[in-house]
Amino acid sequence: MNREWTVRVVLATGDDISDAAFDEIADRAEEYDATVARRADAPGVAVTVDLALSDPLIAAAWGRDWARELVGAGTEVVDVRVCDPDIYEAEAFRPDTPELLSASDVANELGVSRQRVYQLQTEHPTFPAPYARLGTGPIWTRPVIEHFAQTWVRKSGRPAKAG
Amino acid sequence: MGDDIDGLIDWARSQGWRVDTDSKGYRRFHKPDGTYIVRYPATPSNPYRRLRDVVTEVRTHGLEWPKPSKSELRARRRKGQT
Repeated sequence: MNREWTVRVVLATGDDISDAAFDEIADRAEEYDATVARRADAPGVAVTVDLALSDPLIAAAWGRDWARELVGAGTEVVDVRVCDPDIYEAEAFRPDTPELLSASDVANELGVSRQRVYQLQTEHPTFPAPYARLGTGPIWTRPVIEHFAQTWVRKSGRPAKAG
Repeated sequence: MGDDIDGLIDWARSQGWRVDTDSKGYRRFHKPDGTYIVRYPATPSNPYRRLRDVVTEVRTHGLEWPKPSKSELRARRRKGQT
């Protein structure tokens, strides 16, 4: 039974492709509703197409051959990737940076004052180290703060005086 | 930034990319150094997949993709997308 696969093929070209030649390739790719992009860091193009075929290896081979024909002679396939469209989509929109929290945000997450956050930072043995320190103060990533909030054993009242 | 092409265009422009529209309605994405990278059709048959492909390619060329803002996350929660 057929199912959908996303195939991305990267082809190397000997020389840089002009914008006009690039558009001609992209125009021809419209037949399969495919996306053509310039290759990063070296002359060439990347072609992405969604195919309904029974097997990912068949899809990869079809995509490779079609992309090579699309771009023309003198090209070399340097990368082929095939995966489930949902996985490809999740990777496309996955942020480069995690969600970052200031001391004020951390205070809100933990339900304490900002001063208490700084106190925890210096005194609590398992309070996470900041992800970075900016001119405005330290910042943390949300997952480590959420983990701390789940495992933090809060003690009510003032800490007992030593001695 | 967002889940549509206009959000991507706004974000790319804010990061120094140039996005212009050609005579056929294609939105053409240019890196800050002027290199033409990829285009988005005027009327794609599957807009979300085309957006996905364009996002993949502009990221390959160095456009950072940040976490959605708190207001965007709130809007998505309202729409039941997260």
